Amino acid sequence: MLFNSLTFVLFIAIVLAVFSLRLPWRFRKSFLLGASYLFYAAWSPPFVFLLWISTVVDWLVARWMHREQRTGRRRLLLWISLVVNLGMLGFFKYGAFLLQMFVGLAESVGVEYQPPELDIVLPVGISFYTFQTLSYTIDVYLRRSDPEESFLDFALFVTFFPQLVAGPIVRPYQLIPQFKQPVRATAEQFIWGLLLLSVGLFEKVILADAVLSTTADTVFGSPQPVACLDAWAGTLAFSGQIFFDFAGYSICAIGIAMCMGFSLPDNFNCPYAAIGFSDFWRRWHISLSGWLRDYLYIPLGGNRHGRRRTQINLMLTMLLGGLWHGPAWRFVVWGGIHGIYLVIERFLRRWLRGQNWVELRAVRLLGGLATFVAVSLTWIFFRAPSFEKAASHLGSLIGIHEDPVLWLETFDFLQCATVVIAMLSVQWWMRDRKLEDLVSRCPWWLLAVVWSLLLSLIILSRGQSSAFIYFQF
Amino acid sequence: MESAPGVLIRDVPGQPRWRLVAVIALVGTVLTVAAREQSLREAGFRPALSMNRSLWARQRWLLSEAGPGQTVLLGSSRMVFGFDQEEWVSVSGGPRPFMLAWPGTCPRPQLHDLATDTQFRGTVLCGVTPSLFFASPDEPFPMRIEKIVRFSRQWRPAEWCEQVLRMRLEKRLLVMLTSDRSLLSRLRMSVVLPQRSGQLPLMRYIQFADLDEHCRVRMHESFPDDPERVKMVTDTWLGALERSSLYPLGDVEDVLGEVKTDIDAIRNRGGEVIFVRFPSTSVFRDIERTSQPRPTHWDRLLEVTGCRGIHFEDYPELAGFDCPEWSHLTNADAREFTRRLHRIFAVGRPSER
Repeated sequence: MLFNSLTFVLFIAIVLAVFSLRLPWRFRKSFLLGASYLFYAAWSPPFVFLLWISTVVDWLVARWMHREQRTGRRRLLLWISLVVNLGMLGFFKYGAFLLQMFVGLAESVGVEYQPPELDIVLPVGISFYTFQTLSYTIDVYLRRSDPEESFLDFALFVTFFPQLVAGPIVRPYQLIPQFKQPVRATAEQFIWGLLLLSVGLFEKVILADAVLSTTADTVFGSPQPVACLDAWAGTLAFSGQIFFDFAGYSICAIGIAMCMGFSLPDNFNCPYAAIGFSDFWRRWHISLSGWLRDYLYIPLGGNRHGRRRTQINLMLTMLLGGLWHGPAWRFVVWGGIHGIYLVIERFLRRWLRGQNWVELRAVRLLGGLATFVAVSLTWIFFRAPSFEKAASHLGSLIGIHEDPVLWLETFDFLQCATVVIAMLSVQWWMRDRKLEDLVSRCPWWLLAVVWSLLLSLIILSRGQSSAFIYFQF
Repeated sequence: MESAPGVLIRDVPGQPRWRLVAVIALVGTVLTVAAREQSLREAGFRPALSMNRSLWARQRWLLSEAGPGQTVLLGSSRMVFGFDQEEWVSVSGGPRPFMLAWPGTCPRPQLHDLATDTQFRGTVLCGVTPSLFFASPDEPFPMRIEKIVRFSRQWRPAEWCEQVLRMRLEKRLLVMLTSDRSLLSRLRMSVVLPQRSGQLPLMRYIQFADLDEHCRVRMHESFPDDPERVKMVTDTWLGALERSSLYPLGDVEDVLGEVKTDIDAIRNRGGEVIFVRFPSTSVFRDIERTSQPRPTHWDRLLEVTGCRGIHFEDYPELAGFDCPEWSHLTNADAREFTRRLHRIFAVGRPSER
């Protein structure tokens, strides 16, 4: 069920109405759990079983692990959780990719092998809820937290529908305590939640889908090399599209949770105003970056074992982070490039330490722009359908192709430039500000007019409901 | 955002008049949407369904529920414009054929879908628009039907519900209309800007027909009498052909081999496939004669597959129809064409292959 669909409007109206009734808290939580399963089953009922397996296995494993004192047994239990969760993720998400690699490997040593055609459907959101439940068992294993006593609360933590399929990836300590006491949204929370939902939908429906997606799709779908200007427009359009698509989803999730009185963490914080790449990853998909830092980079040794080891850890984390996004080498390369950026940045930071001029406003602005351009160029590997297309696109950016195709019309350039410049300006201005503070200071009538405008545009400029890009991950 | 140990609490902005903000925003939205609805009604628009993959998936689901021996219509826009299911029902006395043809797409993936459906044993009337039927597998626009077919195989409860809601609303509310009547499309069309030299022709999709829940498309009655709109559509066809020429051509023999395999699978289960070539006129017909000559394409298709084929130019009763924008029949002509097609279909001709 997409947030930008009529079905969801009906679903959320019923859920909010029932959840706000003066009924016992346990009943309301059970209802929310049932609604979350319905939300997930609306995509594919059989895949609810995967959610159940993940929930039951991790709940039991964590309890046993907590009781068990012997290190070997505890480690075995952790492995059970890892194998079950990563096994399901591996089969559904990476099965065909691994098979393809195996065939390639066999061919390289002269063995001809024709595998059966795998038609594996990826259960939506599996990468997100797998990481979420893994954080729970790993925390219990590391004795950072105790196992959850209530199965209902734990199941709701795994299945909570606003963030189930595309995050934010929530940690147990952030969400489970909210299920302990009866929660009911105040009028202010409810209205603020609806306003956030409207902002998220506007980003998705208008900015990502209606304005930017056509330009990006046209350029990246071209059968022949495109002109330099078209290539830049397509690159910047995709940078905007993927931000508005994913950040829009996250804001919707936060808003829906807020309408029920729950709080979800931020997932984006003006990432295109980042100065440098470590700053970027503190602002982009924050919940995934934090997960990779806490459960991969730090366990690998983080920066505790010297410079070279730190660089290797950074690269490994980013390569695996890239692979998390999809079963293709393009994503690995995308992650690898970001790893290289981070390694270079560490060198630069050491080199520039103590230099006052780097704090000048103009230098910071240039650094922000350079980061945005570098991040945008890296998105090419993320978006292009193949390495050949990515290489051709990079060639187009520097104008090396003869007789390139001029796909885009002037309106596309204007539309793309307007949105991208506005996006960068707003993010730069909001860089060290909070949306909540801005809304607090906004005159009430202006807020009402802007909200009304957003809603009207969503309704009147609607196209077909298209899925969020991050659902495929 | 404040974070007490272990508990996450999001701030709510301190607006003193939250309720008033919400009420005014709601009223403002309702008034804006109502005003737009009224202006569309005054401009003479009628409610119509939007062309989306879920509508096709629904039609495919209805076919699979209807049993194995149904009549199915495949093809591209010429089939959805030119074949009138009600007329066919009235002249044949049989059940309504299922329209699985989809505008601007290649019917080969649909044919393959039926060939791999072991339950299907019916009759297929497959429209042949040469540029689309013989399209290269690498050409994304006509081959987008592959994604729609895949989508239909995983048509999920959420999409079923969405389609039901959408059909109910779209039949009543004009603001639900998409295509050239959405605000952004209007803006794009109304602003005239200078273009780069060497630029591909501009594509301005205008809605000159409406779609019903059976996937039948009816040309607006006033459309043929509006030369400006007709020109916009013919310009779009030329632009589409120019864009299509950027893709490598598909190998005709490969295409035929693939089609024959699928047809044999349908035949082996007792089904039948009949090809129909709907009328095209003027510039479009001339381009087709050059790009997809009949001997190497249509004739060869019938020769390789051994299927029966009905080409509008072979039958005087089918040959005289005019297409206002070179490619599609008007609604009235579609009814007449269907009636005559049924007569040929029912009687058969010894000369037909």
